[in-house]
Amino acid sequence: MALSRKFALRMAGVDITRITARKESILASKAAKTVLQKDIKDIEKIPPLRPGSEIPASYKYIYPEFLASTDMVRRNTLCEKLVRLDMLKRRTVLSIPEFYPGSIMAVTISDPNAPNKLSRFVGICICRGGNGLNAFIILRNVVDGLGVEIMYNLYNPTVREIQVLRLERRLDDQLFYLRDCAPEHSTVPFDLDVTPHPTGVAVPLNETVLKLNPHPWKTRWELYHFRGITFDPKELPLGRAKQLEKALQPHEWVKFDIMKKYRNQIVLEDQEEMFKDIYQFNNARLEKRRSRR
Amino acid sequence: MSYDKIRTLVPPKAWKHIKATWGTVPTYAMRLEKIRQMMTGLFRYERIECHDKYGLEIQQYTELLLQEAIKYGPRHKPTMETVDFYMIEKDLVHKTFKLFVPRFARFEPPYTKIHFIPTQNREIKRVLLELKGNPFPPVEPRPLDRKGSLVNILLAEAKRDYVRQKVKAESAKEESRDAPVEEPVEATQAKETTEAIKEE
Repeated sequence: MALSRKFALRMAGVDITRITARKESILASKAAKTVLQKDIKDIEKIPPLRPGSEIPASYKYIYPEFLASTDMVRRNTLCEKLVRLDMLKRRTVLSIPEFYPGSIMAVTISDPNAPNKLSRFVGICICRGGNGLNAFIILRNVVDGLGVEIMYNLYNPTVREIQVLRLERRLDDQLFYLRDCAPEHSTVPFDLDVTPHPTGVAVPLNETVLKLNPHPWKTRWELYHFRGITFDPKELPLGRAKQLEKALQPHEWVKFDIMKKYRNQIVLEDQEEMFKDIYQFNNARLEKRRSRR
Repeated sequence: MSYDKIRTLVPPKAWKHIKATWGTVPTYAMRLEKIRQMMTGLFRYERIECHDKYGLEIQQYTELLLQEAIKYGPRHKPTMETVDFYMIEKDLVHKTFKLFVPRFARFEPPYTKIHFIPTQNREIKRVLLELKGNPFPPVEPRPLDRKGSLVNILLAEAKRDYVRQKVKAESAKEESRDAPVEEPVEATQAKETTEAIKEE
């Protein structure tokens, strides 16, 4: 069979090394909608991770740091198990609540140079990443007209408290584009009160779409397919408009490359093993609370 | 769609080192085109010889494709599209669903086998990739049946003799152990008989 002309042209012409990686948001995807938009009251209606398993599918989004890295060469099952046990031990002392990139958080750490030996920082969670004990978050705030971003390791022993002031999701997983937006979108007052999230209600999706500042930008946001930003393509510099057209072309071969898809995911069999420990840990906690009552 | 775990003997290191480039424009899409051509060859002849860097990668692609075809069947749209993409000659689409799927439903994964072929130059590694259950004679030599040779017959007899002797020795030991328990009974019987003789 000869290739269709469209397909063959696309294969020959495009140099893929030039085009940066495309980021599709996981938290605002269709699969996440079916899981996260449902209220926790009907927890039985949340589909399981895998047919026939106890673990709900929402664990993929609530505890992403329990998943191992997708790099098969560096993976070691015994090391992963030990790391998970360490994480659970830390969780007995420190409560790490449910949060998503886009929610406003406050982190207090012990700092010998600060007054009272404590320092507290409030900001929007821009990014959440890392796996195992290296899990981290990045908070952003504008202090006295200057943008500040701090990365916190969640399982660092210096961390005293992690608070969620306002729980919500955004249209994207990574909100680094706030650097090139107006500062009012990323300013949070330090004495912001906690608006407690009512138990048994779904996490709300914040669907604000921001407008980017005029050129120049820190990075080329137009190539990343973010949903939460708008810009005029006419205002782009000359060379970039052509490259944007190339980048926007859908690559049909990506759909058929099954091994690429396989290497970038963790198989559901393995995911079930990884979430088994935290599932038992959560169940034991619930039973303790019930027995106290 | 989610895939099951691949169970092959391919080391995970090979996944990273294979960066096949081919053609005038070495792009990722061209690489996929090469894989596609070799996959049709594999599904047509069920056994092919190729360079190891292609063979190791094509093995993984075939495993996933067959896994998907067995799991979802021909009526599932995305699987049908993928099979339609990888089979350049369209009669092989029928072959996969009518011949391979019922065949490999019986097997446990992996569905493919790989053999490294000896070459003159050691740096060049060539490989023989095949689907399981193919009609060709097997590549691996069958274990020969050498029960009939003289040495083996003698050895088997020697083994039997050794076992027989052991059993005999054990039975003799047991008898000797049992004997002292039975002695008093015999002795009483003997006494009774002697007494009876005396009375007579």
